[in-house]
Amino acid sequence: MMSPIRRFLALLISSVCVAITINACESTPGDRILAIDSQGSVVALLFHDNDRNSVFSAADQRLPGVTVDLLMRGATELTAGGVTDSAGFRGFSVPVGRYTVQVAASSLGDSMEVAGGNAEFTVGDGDTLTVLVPLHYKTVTIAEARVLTDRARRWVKGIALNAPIAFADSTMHITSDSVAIRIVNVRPNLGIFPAESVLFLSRKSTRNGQPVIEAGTPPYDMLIVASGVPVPPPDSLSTLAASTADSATRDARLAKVAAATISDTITISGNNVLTVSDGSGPLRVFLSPNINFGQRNRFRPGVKLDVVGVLVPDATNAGQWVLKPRISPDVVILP
Amino acid sequence: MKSGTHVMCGGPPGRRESVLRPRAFVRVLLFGLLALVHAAGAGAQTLATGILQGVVRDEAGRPLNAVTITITNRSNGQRLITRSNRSGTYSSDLLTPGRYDALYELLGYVPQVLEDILISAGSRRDLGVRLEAPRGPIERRVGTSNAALTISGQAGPDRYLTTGTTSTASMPFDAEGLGALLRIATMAGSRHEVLGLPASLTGVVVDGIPLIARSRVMSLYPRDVGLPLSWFSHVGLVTSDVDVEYPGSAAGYLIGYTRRGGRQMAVHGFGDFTSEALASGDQPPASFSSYRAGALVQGSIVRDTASFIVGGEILRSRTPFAPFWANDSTAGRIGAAAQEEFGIGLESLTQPSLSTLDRTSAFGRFDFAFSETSSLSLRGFFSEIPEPEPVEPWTGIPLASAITPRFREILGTATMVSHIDDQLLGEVNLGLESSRMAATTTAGRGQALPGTTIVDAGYSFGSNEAKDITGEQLAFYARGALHIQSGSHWRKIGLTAWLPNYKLPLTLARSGEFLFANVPDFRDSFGYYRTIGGSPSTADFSMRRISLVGQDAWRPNPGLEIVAGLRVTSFTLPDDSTQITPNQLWFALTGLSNFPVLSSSSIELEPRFQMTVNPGGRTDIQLRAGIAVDADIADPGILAEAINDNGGFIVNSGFGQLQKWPRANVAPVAPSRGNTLVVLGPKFRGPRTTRAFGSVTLMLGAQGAISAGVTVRRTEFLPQRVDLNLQPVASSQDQFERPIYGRLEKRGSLLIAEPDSNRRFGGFEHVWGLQAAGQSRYFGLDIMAERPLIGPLGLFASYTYSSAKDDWLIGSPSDPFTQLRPFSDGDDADDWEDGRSDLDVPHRIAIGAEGRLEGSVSATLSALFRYQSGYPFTPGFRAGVDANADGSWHNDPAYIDESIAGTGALLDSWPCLKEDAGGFAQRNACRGPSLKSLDARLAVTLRRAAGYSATFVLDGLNLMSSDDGIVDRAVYLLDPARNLEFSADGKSVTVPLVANPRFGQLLTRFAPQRHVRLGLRVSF
Repeated sequence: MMSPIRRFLALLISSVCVAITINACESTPGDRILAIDSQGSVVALLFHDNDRNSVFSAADQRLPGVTVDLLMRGATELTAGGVTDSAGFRGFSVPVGRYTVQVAASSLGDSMEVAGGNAEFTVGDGDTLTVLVPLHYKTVTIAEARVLTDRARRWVKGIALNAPIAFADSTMHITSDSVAIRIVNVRPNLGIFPAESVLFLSRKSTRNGQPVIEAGTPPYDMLIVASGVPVPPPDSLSTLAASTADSATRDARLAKVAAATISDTITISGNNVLTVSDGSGPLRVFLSPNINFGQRNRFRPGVKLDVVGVLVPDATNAGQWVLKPRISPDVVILP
Repeated sequence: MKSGTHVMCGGPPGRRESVLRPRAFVRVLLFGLLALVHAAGAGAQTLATGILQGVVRDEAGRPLNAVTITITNRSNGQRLITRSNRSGTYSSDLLTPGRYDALYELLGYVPQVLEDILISAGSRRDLGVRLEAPRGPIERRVGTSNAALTISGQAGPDRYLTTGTTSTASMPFDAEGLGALLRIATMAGSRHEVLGLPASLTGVVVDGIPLIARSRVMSLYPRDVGLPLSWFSHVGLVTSDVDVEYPGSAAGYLIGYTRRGGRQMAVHGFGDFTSEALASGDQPPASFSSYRAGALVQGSIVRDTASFIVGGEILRSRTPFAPFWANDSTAGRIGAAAQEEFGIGLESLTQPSLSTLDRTSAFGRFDFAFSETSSLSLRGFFSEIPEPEPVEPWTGIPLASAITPRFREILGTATMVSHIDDQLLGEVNLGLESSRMAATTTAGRGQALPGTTIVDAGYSFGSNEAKDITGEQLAFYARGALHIQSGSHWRKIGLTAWLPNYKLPLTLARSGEFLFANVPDFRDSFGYYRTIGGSPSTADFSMRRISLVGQDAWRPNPGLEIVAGLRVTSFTLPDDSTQITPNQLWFALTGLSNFPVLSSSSIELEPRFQMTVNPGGRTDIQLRAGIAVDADIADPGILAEAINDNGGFIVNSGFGQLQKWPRANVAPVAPSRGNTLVVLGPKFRGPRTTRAFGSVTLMLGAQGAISAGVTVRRTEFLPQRVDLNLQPVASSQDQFERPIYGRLEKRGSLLIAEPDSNRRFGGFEHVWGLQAAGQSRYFGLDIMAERPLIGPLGLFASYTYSSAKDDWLIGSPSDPFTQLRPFSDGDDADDWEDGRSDLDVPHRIAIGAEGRLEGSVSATLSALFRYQSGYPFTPGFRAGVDANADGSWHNDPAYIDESIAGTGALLDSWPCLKEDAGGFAQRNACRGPSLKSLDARLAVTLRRAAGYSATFVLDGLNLMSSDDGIVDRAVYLLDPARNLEFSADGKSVTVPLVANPRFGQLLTRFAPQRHVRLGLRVSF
């Protein structure tokens, strides 16, 4: 029979062991740690947002083979990345948090970028988010467009100064407050009118030594943003300054010469060109046959005119600019 | 969440835990009972009582049967009678602490009296007696005094000399509360920490009734301040006792035993007074007068049967302090700016100041021995502390404000003890405690200033605590115990129930916090602002702790005692389903719920074992060793935070031109908004401590005793705070590869994270995860010696060497921003965190001396000297420099870069920096100034034959004192002349730094000034 001391110690050790065992198994450190280990799923759909409405629609085009990354907010290292499949999709499983999409420019080519910048979205626990990633060509200002050095496509935004049909040469002009540019190869039947804010998908080019942009191909090459936009007032120039576009600084801009006297005889069936001078020097004015300026025989030598028009390099006389009135009110015969 | 009792064990949260159903719980209880029956039970000392026991023998050493032992309480004359058994063994249990005489009588033998036997609570005095046959006419013979054996059977690092002949009454600090004892306990520190754990983890037990757990919310004061020493006849600090009835505190227990009425009607009056005329220091002290007045009236209602004592005390204490701010010129510029620009004076910071403590307290006790074997004791307490300290208690930051917390406590207890027969005693304890705290902004005392920091000066002032809050705690305590003597076994079985209810507000609804780069920006109110606002919320919840205890103290022979016990405790947390409002948005975002995490109940087994040996039966040497497991209740302050902060509070923050300081700023100047939330971690629970100890005591007869002991403690499940809404990955790094979580903004010396830039989810600001995953380790070596005051001189000396490590960033519990981890996972964050504790103080010394001249006029001169190492701190940056942009400017260690000009000189002066050169400073690598203090008392007593006595007391306070305060932990300051330099890819940033020549010096000092206090004690 077990002695009292042994029995005592046995029970003591037993109770201590039971307590330690129960307490020890409760001590697993990991199961007390609070951490957010939830994940969510993100499916990114990359598409060319042709109609620039940031919504995937029939007008838009899926973009396969594009490298797309997810970055947790504030992070500089990507959280997940991959290439879109043939339908423009790429799926990710990521820790919950705030993310932005980053699309590798090298896999896009041209000037494509994510529309609206890298918008932030939140991935919650168990979420399955479909993130639309509209891409489109970059938008540049007229000033930026004039100094581009490559021929990538870009959207150029400005206020239309003339209708494509005005000069019968598929050109039109757009302007901002301080600078303008000429667009070539514009389809004459585009329904654009002066004082409309427009976007042109175009490539940079050069004509007669001056930067121009070449209009793209339909159907998604032009957007009218707004109508009735105030057109910046024309630059008032002397006929001499206008003839050089003020040393080429006002190419494509809207200019006005005042009280200029016709020194040349109009040739209605010829080149439709008047030569006028306000005394500072001669300036050639092109009267487009597509515009109704009234009875052309009114434009006789000695007649004084106020003329508003866009300044266009003279293809036949290097260094000279021609003033092209856009609409009939641009030419006013003075009494 | 559905209620259910269960034991948690392993596995993924909520899935693999084995659930212990109520039926199983009953089985556990039965197991505990069986263990008690088989393994033997408990000795009959309790938290409130002690035992006198021993063996009576004849001259030949043979045990004497049926010796009558009459034990008389010297203070009130109450008597207990017991008899020895056939083995000569006798035992008288449940003796209330005090001094006793014991008369041993047996027909045919000379009676023997042992006088002045000290019985302290929880103690077992073992006094063997030899009765001699008469060699002439029988006469009573007075035995030798037992006063010398003051720590007999009590030796070890936990038993303090205050229960011995060196009484607290003779030490010069009796105007304070129960915690004054900690000044002579060297395992405690000046911040009231014990065994490397903060004061909130030290329990308080009064007359065997544990007071309700202190929480951060209610601890504007250390709890013990409200319990005047004048109530108590004995006080003690217990850190390594294994008795099953101690209620599981992680650090230890402050225990107090109240005075009781005596045989004679007596009145004791006492008073102290001091003023600026009795103070001196480096600067003239502020004008003040300070006094304390009180009286105790005691007497007998029915002689030797019923007695009473009532008392009251009014304390209006003012302690003069040197100016808080150390740098006078900078302090002057800040003070001038506040006065000139805002019309607010900061004189309390720039000029000598006063520490205030106003306390009104009352106490009463009634003892009634309603039969020869049964007694009843009723006690009532009241205490109110309506005045604030001049510094924020946890952070030590000067308040310069007028927030007045009023802390009121009412306690009533009842104890009934019944000796059913010689072998069976019953004891019932009941306690009811009510505490109420109200912090309100006091009108007419100036403005309550928000927390304000001038970064380049390093100065902070004001309070970012919530204003106008109230909290209440109400607890009912009941204990019943049976004490059974069976042969050499003393067993006890008991059941305790502790049922607290809390009404706790959210203190994190802050008053606002300003950061200014420099004084000109302070004048212009240009800087950073953060506040937390929302509708007031008060959590109202109840908890339960019910324990079944069993213990056996077995003495197989006179030189050996084995104590083994087991406590089976059921903890019940608040019913989470009704208390915590779920935050659906956070749950949807993260899958982490703030509501289904509380377990309704859990069972803890708390075994204990202790062995005491007197080698060879010698009574002058004693060895003791033991081990015990204690589980504590979860911090109700944390539960209140989880209940209150369910997403309804909003943080506003902003950087730039603010509205005029100190006006609260919200949008648009502080436009960033986000909700706060608290999420309790899985299996949240209270801490559990395993403690092992060993000691050896050498008793030197009348010359005193020497004791040495070792304590090893490990505490688990301490609450850790993690910021769940911090960005999980760093967005960049600085020149030292420190991870940076948001965008840094710099202005002058100020460096902060741009609001919202470091948040993982928008719409949320701080989401605090509170998880029971922290741990703390302590090793302590204690040596103490005592020469009792039985002649003209008494002396004690105590030394403790200790080491404390933890991964529980204690910091300032009231400021959660101190709890953040500075490094992300994988950056050796765990290694950095698991280091030297904030409360690691390796060396502590306490020396007390007392000399007495007796005569018609007696004089006592006593002095207390204390020394301790400085508290550690982490070399880092000033407040207002958030180097890792995680939202906190308290937690960033410095990278010790020798290439920065001036670093070399710092390394030469601070070896702690040299060790970390070329890397990040280790946590708490350096140490602040050591602390010393010396107080002395001269007491002259005049006695008159009619029982009148008058004692004149002259206290010399702070005769030697070293400055404590806030250390300048900034190794580097931001170069205000240079900007941040970002790399082109944004992945790195260079932060311009210059060495801080004032590193390690005190920015704010708490330097009490020398002063003399006059006192008078009268008794009649």
